[in-house]
Amino acid sequence: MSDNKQKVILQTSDDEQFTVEKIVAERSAMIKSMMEDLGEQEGQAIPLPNVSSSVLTKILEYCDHHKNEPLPAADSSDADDSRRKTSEIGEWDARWIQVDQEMLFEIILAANYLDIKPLLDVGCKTVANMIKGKTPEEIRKLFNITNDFTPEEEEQIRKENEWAEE
Amino acid sequence: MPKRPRSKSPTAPADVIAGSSSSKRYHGAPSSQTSHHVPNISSGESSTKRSIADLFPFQEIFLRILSFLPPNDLAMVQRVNRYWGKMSVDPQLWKRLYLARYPHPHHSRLIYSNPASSPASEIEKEDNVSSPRTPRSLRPIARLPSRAFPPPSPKRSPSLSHGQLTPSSSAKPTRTIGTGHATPLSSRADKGKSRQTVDDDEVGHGIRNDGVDWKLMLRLGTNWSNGNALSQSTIPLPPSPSPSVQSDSAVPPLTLSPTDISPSRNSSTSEQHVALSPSYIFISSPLSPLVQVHSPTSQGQPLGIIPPPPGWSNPKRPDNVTCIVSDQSVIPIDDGHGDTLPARMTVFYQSGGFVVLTISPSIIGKGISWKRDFISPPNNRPRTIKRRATTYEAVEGDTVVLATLHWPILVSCTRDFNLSVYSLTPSSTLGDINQIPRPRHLQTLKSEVSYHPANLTLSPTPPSSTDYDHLHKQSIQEEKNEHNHFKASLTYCTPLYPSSWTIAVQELSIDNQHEMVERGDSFHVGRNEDEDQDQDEIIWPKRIKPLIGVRGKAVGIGSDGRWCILVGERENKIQVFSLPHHHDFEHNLESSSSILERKRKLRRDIYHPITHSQTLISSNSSDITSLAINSGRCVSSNRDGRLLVWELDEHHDHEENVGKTVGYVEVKKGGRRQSVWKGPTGPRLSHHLDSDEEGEEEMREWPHPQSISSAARALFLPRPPIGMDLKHAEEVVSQTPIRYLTFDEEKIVGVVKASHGGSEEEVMKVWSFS
Repeated sequence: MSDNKQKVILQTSDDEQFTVEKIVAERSAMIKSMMEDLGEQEGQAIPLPNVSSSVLTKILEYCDHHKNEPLPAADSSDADDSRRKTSEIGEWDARWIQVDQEMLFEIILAANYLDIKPLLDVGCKTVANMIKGKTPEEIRKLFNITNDFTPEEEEQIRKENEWAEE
Repeated sequence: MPKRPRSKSPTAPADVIAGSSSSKRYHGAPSSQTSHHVPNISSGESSTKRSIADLFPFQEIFLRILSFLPPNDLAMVQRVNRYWGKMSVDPQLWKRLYLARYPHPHHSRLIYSNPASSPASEIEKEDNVSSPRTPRSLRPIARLPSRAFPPPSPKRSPSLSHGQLTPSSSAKPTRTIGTGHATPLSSRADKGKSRQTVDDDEVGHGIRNDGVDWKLMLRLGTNWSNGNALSQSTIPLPPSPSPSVQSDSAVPPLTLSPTDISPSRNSSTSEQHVALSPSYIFISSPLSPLVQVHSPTSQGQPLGIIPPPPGWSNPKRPDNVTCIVSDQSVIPIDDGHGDTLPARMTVFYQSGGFVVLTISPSIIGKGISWKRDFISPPNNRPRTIKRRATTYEAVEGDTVVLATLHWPILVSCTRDFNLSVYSLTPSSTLGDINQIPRPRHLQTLKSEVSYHPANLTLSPTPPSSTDYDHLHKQSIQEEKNEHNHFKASLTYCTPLYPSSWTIAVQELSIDNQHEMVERGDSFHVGRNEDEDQDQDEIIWPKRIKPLIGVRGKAVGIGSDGRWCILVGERENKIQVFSLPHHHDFEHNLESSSSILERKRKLRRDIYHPITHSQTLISSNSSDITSLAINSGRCVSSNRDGRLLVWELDEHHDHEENVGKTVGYVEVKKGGRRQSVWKGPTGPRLSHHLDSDEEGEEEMREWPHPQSISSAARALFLPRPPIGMDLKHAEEVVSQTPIRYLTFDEEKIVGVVKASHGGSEEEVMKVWSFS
């Protein structure tokens, strides 16, 4: 188990197989626990039915870059807290996440599915940064959302939230 | 990795995860199982190009995205559409924001939302609620002193232990969280127009909602931090029955003290004639037997008037109110009466009798109804007014001037410092149902060394362990009012040779279950024992002087269980003392390695010194006329009628404990302030000193740069609301000091005595933060 050179085979939804280092695959808490459950079974592919090969390629790139960082402790509120403090995205991550909207969507979903918390956060922060500083109208336009408030309702919410404005 | 919170694969049912023997199924037939899990995600609408907008139906992911947004952006998000609005008021988001800004919340600042007005249904409510600022049922829980709420360690941090995206074991089993894919609320097709399909229960699903209205708390906290009252109302109080009476003449000087330095009651700080509850403001006058009940929101006429019990008072022999106090405990939620919470209070009369009442909104229309729960009959009768008397006689007997009530314990303190403890637990032995029960008197203790002004606080004894579980249990107990152990503390003035005054604290421990009252610890302002040095040497930054007090009379005193404050006559300085932390000692004892050190610490523990922690100086020379303290927050008013807010709480990340001026209170419509004060406690303290600072000499005497700079802040006048008689209001504001102050999380209430057209009248001013 402790041998870092160990390889893991991942099988994507489009039946493509990826052979990756265990340490890279273990970025995903989901794969990690799956491997623990499976035990030592060389040559067995781990099926990832919700991830396509193009997305997995992208995600493995991320995992490979971060493979030597300590894994966030599961369920740890400390890690959660510290990650909140830095709402900024790392330099490498920021460049890496520069993808089109569809890919970003896929990455976030896959990160959620594979349970890669730091990656999920990178994705969510990216989306949050898109929302940041925008007016409701701009947000609606950006994401093609229909406004179902009456102007009065919207005005009322605005009044209620005046305290939060800067 | 410990037992993971989510199952690893959508293809793996729970039994597979549990037993490794069946693990072969992982790779048995993945392709066949894939089909019914993927559709939502990958193949559902494969024809259309997916974009980020498709993420938003996934509540868990959406909430995670929103969790990276600051309050102002969340405010924007709330206006996007109904679904976004609902998500943006998720309690967990606001809880994190609140705790990020105020990492060590006081219990007293927790405000519970009524389950009926949970954030999920907020928007629906807003549809037909006309006034946006009407606070929906506020439920502050017990006002524990700050030290009863240990600073949460990250481990315990309630904000994230029930994390958002980690489906806890309490998540509904029917939910598909375990698949690793969040469940979309509604398909993309009907998103937007599908408001009705959004199940209210679904919002904030899987998250333990503690019922605390974190958003409201953040709003209140922000408004406090900005010194930003949303409204100020002035409520005229009916003229006293005998306007010629000066309240100071009603009180004889204390017999024990030499007259020249005796703190007589005209300082009016030991006076408790205003009591606050979430829904009501109670106010009484030392010259009237009636208690008026006001609503914090409406101006003008009182909601109701509470008379003394029949036969206690008559016009010739008025049984005037000497003290009123409202309950600090939480009235159980099932007692809720719509939007207005019932309140419990005790009224003490001149005759020595007192009444415990429950006040609730009247069933028919406006107004209130009240019920006497307990009556303690009078033990002496006020003297009949002589027919030709032009003034009332001085109060006879030893009347109760201070009291504190935390159901079911009532502690009262008389002018001569007889402390009485009563239990309000209904006695099972009394058979007569029709008779209103008497409170059970537990004990009376007499303090010979105390002087006014004084202050009483009462709180349930915090659990010995600082474990979060205990804390949690405790709050459950609070919900049910199941406290049996209480600690009362009397903060009083004590003379300091030759002519100064300082403070001391005497605690009582009360065991309601066994009906026992014991003298607890007593605290005195102490010298730091390792200070054998020259007395005049200034020890900074830790302490200015080991022993400190005020010259002349003390006019104001207060305590919140963690801090004590003291103000002298004609002074613009507030002395802040820090009460020793119990767990501090324990902790220090454990950590100190050497026996010698241990012994010293032990000795110090026995002495219980109160240490002077800081001096707060209000910026101009105008002296402080009244002050109030509540859970680490201090409000003071100057002779010119201005209000100042101070945050005393220690900042755990700083070495020094420095109270920060939050600023003056002013009224801004809508809660906006022209000049933005960055940060939770106003602008950063600078060491810059205003040149036109008048008390420069005093500054040399009190060289505490932090407090000086915090004092060097311009003050503004609170503005009267539009529509008021401006001239009159300004007159009141500028010329009459606030005589009595009290506040809770939502509001500051001050009593102003105004000379108006030759006759004296009292005006109650309410600054509301919600």
